[in-house]
Amino acid sequence: MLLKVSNVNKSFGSKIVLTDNNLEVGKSEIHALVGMNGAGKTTLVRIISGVIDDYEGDIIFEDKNINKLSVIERQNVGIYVVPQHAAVIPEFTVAENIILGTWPKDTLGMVDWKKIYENAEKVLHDYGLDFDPRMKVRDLSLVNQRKLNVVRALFSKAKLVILDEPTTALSSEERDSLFKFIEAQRQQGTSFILISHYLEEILRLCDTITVNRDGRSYTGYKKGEVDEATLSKLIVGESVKLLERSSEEKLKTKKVSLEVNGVSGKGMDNISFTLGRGEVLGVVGFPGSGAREICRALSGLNTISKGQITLNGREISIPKDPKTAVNQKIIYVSFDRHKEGVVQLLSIKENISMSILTSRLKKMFGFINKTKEIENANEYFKTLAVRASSINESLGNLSGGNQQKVVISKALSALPEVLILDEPTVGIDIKSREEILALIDHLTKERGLSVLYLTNDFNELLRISDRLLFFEDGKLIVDKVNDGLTAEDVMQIRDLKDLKEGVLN
Amino acid sequence: MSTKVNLETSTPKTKQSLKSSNIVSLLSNNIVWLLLILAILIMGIVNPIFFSPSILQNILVQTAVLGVLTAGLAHVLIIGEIDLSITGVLAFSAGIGTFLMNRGLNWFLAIIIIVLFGLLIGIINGILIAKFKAAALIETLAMGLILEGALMALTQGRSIINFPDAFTWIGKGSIFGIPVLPIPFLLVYLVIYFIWKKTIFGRSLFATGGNSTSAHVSGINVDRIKIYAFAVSGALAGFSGYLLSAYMGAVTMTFGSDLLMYTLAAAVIGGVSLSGGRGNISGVLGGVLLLTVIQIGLQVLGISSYFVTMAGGAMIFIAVMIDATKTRYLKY
Repeated sequence: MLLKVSNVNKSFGSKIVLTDNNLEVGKSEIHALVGMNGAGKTTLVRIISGVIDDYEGDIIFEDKNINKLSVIERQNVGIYVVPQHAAVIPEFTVAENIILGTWPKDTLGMVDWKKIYENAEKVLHDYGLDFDPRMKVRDLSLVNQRKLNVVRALFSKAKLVILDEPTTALSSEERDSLFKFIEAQRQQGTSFILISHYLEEILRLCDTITVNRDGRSYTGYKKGEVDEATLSKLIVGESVKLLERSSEEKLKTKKVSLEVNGVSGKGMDNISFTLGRGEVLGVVGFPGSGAREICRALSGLNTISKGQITLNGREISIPKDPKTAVNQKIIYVSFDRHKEGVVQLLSIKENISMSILTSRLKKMFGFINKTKEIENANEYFKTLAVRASSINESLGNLSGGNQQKVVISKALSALPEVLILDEPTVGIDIKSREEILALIDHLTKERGLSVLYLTNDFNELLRISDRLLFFEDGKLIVDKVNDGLTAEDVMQIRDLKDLKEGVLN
Repeated sequence: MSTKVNLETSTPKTKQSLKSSNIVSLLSNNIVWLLLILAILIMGIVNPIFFSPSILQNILVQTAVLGVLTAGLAHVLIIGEIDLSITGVLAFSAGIGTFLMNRGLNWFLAIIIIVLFGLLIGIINGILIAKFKAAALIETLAMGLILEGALMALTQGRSIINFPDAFTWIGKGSIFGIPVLPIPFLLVYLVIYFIWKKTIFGRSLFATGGNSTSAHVSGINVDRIKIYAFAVSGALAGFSGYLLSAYMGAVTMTFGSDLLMYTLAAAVIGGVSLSGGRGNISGVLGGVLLLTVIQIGLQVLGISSYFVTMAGGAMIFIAVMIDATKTRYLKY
């Protein structure tokens, strides 16, 4: 046994986070750690890596108790964490990032650059990567940055690499390439703990599985013993019904709400489409294809140089900043929750109110209408089932999924006509994801909310979307009704030019 | 070892007794007030004269200028920026106002000019930093130097004196034996309390300081909020310049220049985070009072003035370390 976590307990103040957690990882094993947001996965990882040092129980690594070892000492025995947000220095070259902290010196005691690049080239080659060690890391794609992180860990003689949500924001091809890489390293003898919300990839890749739920661990499941349904039941503690928007709803003709006409700008080339009232319009495309660009441009975050936008038959001014867009009832939920979604220091209530301070909550002399604020925050707090003690809890205390629910509450509070959702379920557990999808489905029917939906999870996209837009090179290339499409269809249409032209006819 | 468990959600939700953690956070959020009480008690025990009403009154009087100045600066700190021009603003706006007054300008108009001049500089700072993306640290440092230099040029090294009584009443006068000066000081804090707690501007300040990109995406006009914050800082720096000139009855060449480090220290001791988004006005009040109590206390205790600066520095040091420890402890 490489790693053994034995009866670990942890509480923060009076809040119990982990109760009797156990798990075992063998040599050359990929171990999955799954659970809902706030189930205690991150805390457990922090305990294993030594970031949290006051816990009850034992961490045993290669038959030695390592409770007393610090983070650095644990790295030296071979435990590495690759965090969710790739921990690389973007302005350094690939080589510098790999050897970070162990610069080779020449006879004069200066950094020996030649040796660095030679070493790095060899290391990259050994791990089957072919990018240039002199390249700056900021020019690497996201998936290569993640691989680089793993390489760095392996270079420092890691025996156990813990990957926290490594596939977030990756396309399915990139995901596959990352998995191949991990699989190859496993065959060389490295063990992995993989934290992920994508059950499909867990079942494909992992040998053993531990489920965390409400701070308890349910461990020892082996590959082939569980299927996706059982696993999701284990994670949530009850069976989850996947939302499927009725095909009747999908095919219904809808009155035009938003009309985009010949919009061009950075990464966008003469894009025109309509979005119906109460319609969910899926957006598909690689990074840089124009898919995300049009979403952000409509929200006032990217510049539009040319084109017209009509909302409910009336031409509206081109949104020059998010404020203009918000005032026109076009609201954007960013894929980057940390950077563009939340204010950690503010409370749940104050976060929800941010989008409506100058509109719905405005009182005389610039005061905030407190009664209305509490009423509004409570409404969404309940509707979205945010897990927290009250709306006054600081947002920073919430788990990722619950923070995302607050971001969506904030967007919905502004009573949007058009809601633009950019990867709204990234890093969210299954139950929360289905709750959010169900709410969107409901709002489109009941309030005529129109939605632009961008995600790389095509199964999710197809369950909720009425119609799909495919983007490439800044152009809209296919506009297709979702009449029983499969994820494979979507990938084919996106990837095959000939087919695209065929579909376009 | 491995525990496979049935699917029933059997774990009862642990009832959280929030009591103890509430007390901890209450204490740590008000640490500056604890320190203040402690400081007064210690000084009073060593020298009972410290408990006399006149000394306590004196504390309020001497805090007024630092207090108003720090209250303005706190707005800029909350949005995660810094304003090093405030002492320059304080000095030059008081200088230009009193200079014109001595050349025949009505005393009331002089006060208006002092405050408006501060406001103007604040707006310029804000526009340069928010719109032109100037680095606040350097831009405000330069602005402060320009203004301090401008005061020297204006006064040619001489002090501006001989103010009318109406002008100095706020600094020297008293009502029923109670000095006037603490009144505008405490009023400023009262108004800011309401602004921070109850208004859209106040909320926007904290949203901008907590995460300006999120605030921007949510439809808050972040640039405008930043300009407003600098404007408040400038206007209150001007106002504190008026208070100081009225209190001293003169504008000297190095007027107010020793206040800069104390005002930063008071804000930080009062719990305002230099990285933005965190702070409350009662903490700032505690911070300015604490610094003044220490300064006066050292004088009352008869500690040689050669040691006062060092003791003040040490006290700031301790308070900041307590604050840092608190942040570390409350992280989880």
